[in-house]
Amino acid sequence: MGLAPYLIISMILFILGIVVMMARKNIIAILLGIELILNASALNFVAYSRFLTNNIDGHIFSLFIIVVAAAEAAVGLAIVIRFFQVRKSIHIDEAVWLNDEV
Amino acid sequence: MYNLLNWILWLPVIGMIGICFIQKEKKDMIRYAALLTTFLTFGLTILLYLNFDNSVGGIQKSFSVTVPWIPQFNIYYRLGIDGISLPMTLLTGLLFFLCILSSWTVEKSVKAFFALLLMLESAVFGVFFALDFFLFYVYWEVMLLPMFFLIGVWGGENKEYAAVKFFLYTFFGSLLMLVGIIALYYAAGKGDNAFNILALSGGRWSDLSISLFGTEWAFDKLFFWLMFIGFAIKVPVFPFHTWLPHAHVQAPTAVSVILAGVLLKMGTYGFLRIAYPIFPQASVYYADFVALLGLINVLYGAFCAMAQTDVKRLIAYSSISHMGFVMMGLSAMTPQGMNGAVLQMFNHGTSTAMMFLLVGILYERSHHRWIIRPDGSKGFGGIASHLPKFTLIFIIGMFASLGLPGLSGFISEALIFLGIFEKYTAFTVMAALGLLIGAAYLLWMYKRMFFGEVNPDIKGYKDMNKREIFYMLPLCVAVIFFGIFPAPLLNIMKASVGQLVTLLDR
Amino acid sequence: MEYTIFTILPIFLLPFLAFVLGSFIVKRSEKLAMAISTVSIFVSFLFSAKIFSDFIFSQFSKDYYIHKYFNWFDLSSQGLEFSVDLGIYIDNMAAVMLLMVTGVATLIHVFSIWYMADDKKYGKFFVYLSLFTSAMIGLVLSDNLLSLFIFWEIMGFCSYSLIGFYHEKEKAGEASLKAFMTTRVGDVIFLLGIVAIWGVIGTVNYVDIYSAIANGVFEGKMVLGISLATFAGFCIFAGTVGKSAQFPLQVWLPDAMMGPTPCSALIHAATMVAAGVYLSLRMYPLMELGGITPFIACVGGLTAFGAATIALVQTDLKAVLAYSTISQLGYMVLGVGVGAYNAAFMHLITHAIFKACLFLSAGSVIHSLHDHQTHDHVQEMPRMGGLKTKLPLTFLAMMACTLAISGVPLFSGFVSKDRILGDALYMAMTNKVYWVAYLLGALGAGLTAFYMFRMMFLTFFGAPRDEDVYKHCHKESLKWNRNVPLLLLSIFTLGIFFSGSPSGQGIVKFGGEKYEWFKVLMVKPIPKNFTTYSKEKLSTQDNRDKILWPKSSYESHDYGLNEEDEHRLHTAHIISAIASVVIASIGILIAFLMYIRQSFSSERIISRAAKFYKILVNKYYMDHFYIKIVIRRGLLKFNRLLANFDLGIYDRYAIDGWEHISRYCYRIADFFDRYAVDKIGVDGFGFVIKDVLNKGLRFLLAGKVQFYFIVLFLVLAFYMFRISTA
Repeated sequence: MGLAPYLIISMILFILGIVVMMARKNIIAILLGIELILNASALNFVAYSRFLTNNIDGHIFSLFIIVVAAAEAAVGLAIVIRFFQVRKSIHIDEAVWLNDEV
Repeated sequence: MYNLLNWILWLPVIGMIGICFIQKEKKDMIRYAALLTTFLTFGLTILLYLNFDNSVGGIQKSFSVTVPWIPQFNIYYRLGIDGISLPMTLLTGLLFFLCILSSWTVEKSVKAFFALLLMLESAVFGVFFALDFFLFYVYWEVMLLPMFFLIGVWGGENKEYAAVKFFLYTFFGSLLMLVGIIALYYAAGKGDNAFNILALSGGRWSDLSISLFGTEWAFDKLFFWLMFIGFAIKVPVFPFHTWLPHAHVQAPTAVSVILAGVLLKMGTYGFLRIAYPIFPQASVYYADFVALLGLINVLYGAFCAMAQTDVKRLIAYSSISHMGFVMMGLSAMTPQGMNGAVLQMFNHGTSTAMMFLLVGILYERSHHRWIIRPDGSKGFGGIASHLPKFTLIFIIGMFASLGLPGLSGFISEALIFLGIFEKYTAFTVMAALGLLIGAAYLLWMYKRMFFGEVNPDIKGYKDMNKREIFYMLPLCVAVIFFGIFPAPLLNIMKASVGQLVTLLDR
Repeated sequence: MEYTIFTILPIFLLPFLAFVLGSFIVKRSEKLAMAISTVSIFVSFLFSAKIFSDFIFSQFSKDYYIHKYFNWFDLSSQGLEFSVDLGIYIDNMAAVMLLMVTGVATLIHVFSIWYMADDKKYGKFFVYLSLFTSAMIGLVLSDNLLSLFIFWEIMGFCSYSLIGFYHEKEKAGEASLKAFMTTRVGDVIFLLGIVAIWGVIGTVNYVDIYSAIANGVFEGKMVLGISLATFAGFCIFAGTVGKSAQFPLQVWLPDAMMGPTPCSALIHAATMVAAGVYLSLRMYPLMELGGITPFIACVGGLTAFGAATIALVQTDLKAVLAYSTISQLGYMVLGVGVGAYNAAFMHLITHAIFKACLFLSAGSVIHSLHDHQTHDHVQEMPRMGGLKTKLPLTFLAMMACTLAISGVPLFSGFVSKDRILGDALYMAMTNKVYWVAYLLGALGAGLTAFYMFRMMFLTFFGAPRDEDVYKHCHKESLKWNRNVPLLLLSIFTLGIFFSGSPSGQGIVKFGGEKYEWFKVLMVKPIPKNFTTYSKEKLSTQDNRDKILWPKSSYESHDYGLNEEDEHRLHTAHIISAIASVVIASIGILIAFLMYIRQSFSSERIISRAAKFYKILVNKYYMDHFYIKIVIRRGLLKFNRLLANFDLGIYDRYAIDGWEHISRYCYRIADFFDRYAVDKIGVDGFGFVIKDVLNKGLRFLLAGKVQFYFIVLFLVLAFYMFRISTA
């Protein structure tokens, strides 16, 4: 089995993540989309590392990504909770405070 | 001798700076400081005269100064003196000294007044010494600044108008001159000597032409006119003369004296130093026209003077008339005419300075200058009976001004007539009418002011005090001495003038 | 006598130094100024007497001369030669002139000591007199037209000052202004003439001018379309017209009588006014060459006659004398015009003496008469009369002079005037133009006799017409400084001093040629003999061998005529002499009948010819013409117009008009600035920022995270696409 199936899966994951980020208005769903994209990239790293080089740099990077994703999810969820406390909603279009028209 | 010119040029500036450090309240100290400065400067000009070599024409090497100033543009601090600028230098030194004395009674911001006068003196010397075109221009412009304030602050009832008019008029002319200076700079190839007046002169530009507005113009003829207008405004030559009556009437006495005695000569000096040597062919080509303008000056000034009822304005117009003789002499291009013109520049400086000083003395007592008041009554009358000393000196000044033989005005006028007679006979005959009218307006003024019963208004006037007599005396002596012995002055100038004449002759 | 700096210059310098010294000490001591002035002129009289005796007695030759020069200034440089030499030129004419000037001046100084004694400005008067005398001497000594002109004008200045001597009088101011300006008209033209000659021959030395004439330098030279000689001759004659008060510039001289009487005697009778004639004589060859002698003769004749007619109706003692001066100067000019060189010059000298004496006598009369109401001196003849007994010596002197001026034989006036008329008649025989001149002159001679005797009769004879004035008239006291000058001068009115023949016409001869010294020594210069001559530098040494002309430079006194012409000349002189005597006696007789016998009264004649009388009283309306019409209506109006044009129109519109133009310019600039730059450029930029960018960006940057993401994605996609296709 070669590199291609991994990349295809990674691409599907990436596109799914993108679509989620673009289409869903729920902030938690968007965060999930981001996780998907991160996972897609982590998969890419591991796949490339496995098939193109003989070292484990890619693996380490994917571990980093998992850590960062966890941290990011924690921070993001905290923001979402704060946001929900203020706005009583987790709809992304509510987060337009910079616009003075609101 | 190397630094003599520098000393003369910068001593007034040193004096000015010194005055700036004196407290405003110590008026007498300021006056004495100014007096000392001008006296030393005058002494230095005498020293310059004593060391001057009469036999050599042109710029005298021993006095010349050349220091790079803005080397990037080949601008040098070049000073020098020849037989044409020396008489003017002497005149400047003398008149400023006397003017400080005559300004003893100025009480309004004394410090600024004397500081500005000293600054003016330095600028005037700068114009007469400068041999670098750029430097010349700078001094020409610097001179405007103190003049503007001296007229505009210490002047008469309509001073702002006169000051602005004077400034704008002269500035207009000097801008045209600046165009000429820059054009010459480029024509000379921007090289080392591109601003050097001496290197530019000699008639190198007659073959050059310049394209402007789609037509070809002879370079020298075009730029002769630019220079001409620049200098003509200062002289002032006929169509550009109207600043003079205003400026003279409004200016305080000392400034009128400087204006008539020295500043007008800067115009004709400009012709002799710049316009004629640099564009000799164009000067010869347009000499007829210049002579005509001179004639118009003579007659126009004289006729206008005759109708004036304000003494100062009358003398201002007489200046226009007398400077017309200088212009006519310049256009003669003969040794007699040219020497006569330079001599007339000096003599007019002394005689008209006398007249303005005397009118100033009278004004200090009367606070008006009417010969005939607007309501038709006499402004003065019977001065001759009441103020004998004043009358005596007034007679000397007046007759010098109208050209009585034996006093200074005559010999220069006779030389000018002699110089132009062959070339412009008809003009000479008409200019003789100017001589006649010149006597008429002065004597008529004298009759109306000095003869007759003593006017009750003037009963309270005091005759001239010692200070006033003291500063009138040098001028009286000069007017009489140079009337009887013109040779000392002519000897200074003849070599340099001769050089110029031969240049124009070629 | 050695002619060096020390023997010639003092004649000029002594009075000049007296002037300089006097002007400094006059404040301290008026008497000292007077003394210095009088002594200096007396010393210079002694010097000139020595020169005179040397010229006339020791060197009885018409070729005797002194010519010395010095350099005044030099403009030569760069090969262009020009230098001005001034010098001293004394020939017989100058020697006689010198003696006359210094002599008359000395006597007048002496007289002035008495006359001016109670005047406030006693010293000042003498200071002016000294300056005047030195200038007059300088003029006589001059060897060229330039220095002559210089002294000429200085004399004009002295005349101006002395006419305006009583400056508290408004009229004195007017008179002095008039005198200076009228002569100035002539002087300016004269200067043009000098310049014209100077420009052509490079010098204005008399002798150089003569030799230039002989060498034909003037030939073919044109000035303004007329020949140079005519132009220059005319211009120089204009100087004479101004100074010697000839028609049409005679108007100033009567007014000049405003000055003190001694100054009238010296300046306006004896010397300054005669200087004009002296100039014409010096420049006679030029005028002859220019062909203006008939013109000169007619001007002289017209003046002689016209002034005499005006003198007929004057009532002021000094005015009569003033007009008679003009008239007599007219005779001299007539003499120049007819070529009576010698006679014109003789008339100059004789006139100077008798007219100075007449003025001094008039001064003596006037000084004795007072008006008790105004405390002024009385000058009006109708208020005089019968003064013969009160002022006997004055009467004697005045009578002698009156006889001289009227042309009574044996007196000097007859000798000189009738020689002029004789030559005029001779010229009239050859050229008809001169008839005008001769007839005017002859008629004028009769009028002269009449008005002079009228003056004498009105003043000294008959009953006193104003008792009050007569009563208070001071009896003449024998004061040396009053009477000696009068009597001395009146002695020299005798013809015997000037000509050996009492008739003056050479008919009755008395003595040898030496008695005819005047006729022999004062002769016309012949230009062609002046081509070689020598002059020497003025120095302390005297080079005597160069003094005589190499060949006779002057015509002999018989004019070099052939026998026939000689005879005609002789006849003309005899006819003219007889005519003159007859005319003069008729004049005297009429005056006698009118004023002594009262056979017919003057009032009746006046009322008969009222119109004519009015014209004469108004001096032919010439004053009116000059002052009212030429000056007030013409010149002053024109001046006012020009001055108003200058400041009112030219300055206001053409110069200050630029202010309006610049105001329009800055309005346009302001408009451009405000609308184009500010509104569109600056405010427009604000509009763009605020209304365009703001709204768009507000739309874009609304915090819609997903929108940002889409954009980000699209951009990335675009770049990926670009990279993949490249």
